[in-house]
This record gives sequence, C-alpha cells and structure tokens, in this order.
Amino acid sequence: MAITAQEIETLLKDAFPEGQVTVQGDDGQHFAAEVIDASFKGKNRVQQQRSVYAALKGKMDGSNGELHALALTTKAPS
Amino acid sequence: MSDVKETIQKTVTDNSVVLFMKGTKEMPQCGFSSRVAGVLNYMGVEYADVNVLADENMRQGIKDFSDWPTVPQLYVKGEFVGGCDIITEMTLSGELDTLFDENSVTYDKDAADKIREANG
Repeated sequence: MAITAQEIETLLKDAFPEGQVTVQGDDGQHFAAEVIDASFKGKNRVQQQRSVYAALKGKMDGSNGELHALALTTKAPS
Repeated sequence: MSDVKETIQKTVTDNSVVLFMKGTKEMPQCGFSSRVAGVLNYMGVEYADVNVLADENMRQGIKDFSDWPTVPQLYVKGEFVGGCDIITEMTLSGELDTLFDENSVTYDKDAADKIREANG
C-alpha cells in the first residue's frame, strides 16, 4: 500500500517536533518535502538530509523504493 | 570490508569524479540519474559512471557505503557530495563550480553559467 504525503509529514513532524515540515505529492509515488529545523544549523546538506532520511528509515525504502521519488529540501531557520 | 565496499572504495579513490547511477552516462535509466549525468555531461566533466542496475550488490552496497538511501550518488575526490536534489541545488547556486575548482576538476564554466541562466 503506497505511503501518503500525510504519513510522511507525521513521520517528519515526530522527528522534528519544533521544525517546519511541508510535504506535497498526491500520486502515492512522487513526493516533495521541505524541512526547516534549528538542528540543521552548521550542518551541510548531506548531513541535514541524512537526518531526514533517518526519520523515514525503513518506512519508504524498498528495492524500487518509494523514497526514490522524494525531492528533499532542507534548511536551517534563517 | 565486503568486496563490494572494497570495489566502491577503490573506484572513488582511483577516479576524481564518480557517479553511481541507474543506467550509464550515455543511457541513463532514471530521471534523477539522468539529470545529474546530464549536468556533468553538459559541463564537460570527465567522470566514471557506475551502473548500479547491473549489479544488485552494488545497488545496495553503495547505499550502505554512504549511509544514503538513494541513487544517483556523486563522489568528488573520494568524498560523497550528494544525490540529485543536492547536486541540482549546488549547480544552480554555483557551489558545484567551487567544489570542482577546489579539487582541480576541469569543467566548462560557460556551460555552468548557461545552466544557471536557463534556470534563472
């Protein structure tokens, strides 16, 4: 059963309680997520996005991997 | 270290720029891989392409190697730089040019500027 934008948003909100999380995508396959969180301050993009992928660990990856279609943007609050 | 990890380590050490991707630089087989390969091709960057679809061990091995769950993955001088989103952002912001300059990787500066203009 494909994951929904809502489920991804919940997962990310749990992992980044003070952060700002927005997830789009209604075709069950392609999603775009933006996470703005203070914990990203001083981290480069790879480190920031690793923590987001960690929050989704096992929920979205599979051999074809829904995660394959997650466009991710991360920022520290300006 | 497992042999696939050794192979990966050797590949990223022996080649200054490596792109682990789905398909090949001439024939990418996934939109995200084709975007990154397209940028590198357009900028005239010399790089080794590794088709993870050709070997299931490689497909999983590269994700374990970098603790990064998706492909494509770009490496410059042995360092993991990022996947499609990060490379796209870095191309548009000019950070990719800087990274190549710092690592003396030759590329076509005008082509990089054209990409930015086109995505203005």
